[in-house]
Amino acid sequence: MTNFDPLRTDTGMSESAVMLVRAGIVVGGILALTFLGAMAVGFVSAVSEGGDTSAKDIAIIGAIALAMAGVIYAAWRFWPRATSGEALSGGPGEVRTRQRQRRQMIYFGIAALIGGAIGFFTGFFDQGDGSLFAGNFAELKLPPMLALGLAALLIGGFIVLPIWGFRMIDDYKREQNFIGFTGGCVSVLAGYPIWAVLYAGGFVAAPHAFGIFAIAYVSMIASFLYARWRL
Amino acid sequence: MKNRLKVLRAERDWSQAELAGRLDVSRQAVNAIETGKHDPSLPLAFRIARLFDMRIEEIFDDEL
Repeated sequence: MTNFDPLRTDTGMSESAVMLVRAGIVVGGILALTFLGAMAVGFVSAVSEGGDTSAKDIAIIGAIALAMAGVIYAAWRFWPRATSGEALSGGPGEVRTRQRQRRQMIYFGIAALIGGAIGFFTGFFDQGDGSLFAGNFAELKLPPMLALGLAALLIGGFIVLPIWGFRMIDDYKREQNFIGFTGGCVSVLAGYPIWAVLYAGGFVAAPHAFGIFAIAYVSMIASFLYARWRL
Repeated sequence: MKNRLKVLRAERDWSQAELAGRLDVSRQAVNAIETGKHDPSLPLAFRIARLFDMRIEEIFDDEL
């Protein structure tokens, strides 16, 4: 909200209802945040002490963490609506903006569901000793039908969703996404040969597929965030 | 590029979300244009000009 915008304080709800909604958001947000923090601390301490961190555990923890993050995000999104009546105000432009935001939320929700499903099923039904997230991913064994289903989900998550998203965003956000994709692409072009020569020199472990994927993904996210907040 | 978008919006008592919806762009795009962080594409500049019933050069000025 800018200085030019009129203050909006009418939520259209009774005072007690507003207080109830606010209390629910605060309690839900704090519980989810506490749960997520405790889970992160527990997992890090288990790893550092050499405890059991099997793929199945990671899948279950990841699924719960995703759900908790969703609760925190929902609390953050719903707080202004419950406190300022933002959702009830405005002209036709604001209605269209909220429709756009709803479409974006649906997009992110579907993306999170697909990502969560891939991570969860991969970890939970792994029949081998490998992991998608480590150098030994070649030892990963999945039931054939599940593997086909996950491949379909990956096509949806990495091809269909981005194309759908690109059709939905405007020039400004498209520019940010281009910077993000460029950052990911350049990092792989430079990252793989750098990793290979460092391996040849005995400095690091041999390059592996997930490492290259991670370089691309992390660089893409970092470049996007740089474009989002700095440019 | 400097522009008068924020002033024109204020004159109509529109929020950034209201203007964004009328232009079919995100609120962040309106904010970025207003603060000079982002120059709109030519089609969007025309949409802005039509919305305010002005010429593009009356809203945007690269010499301000």
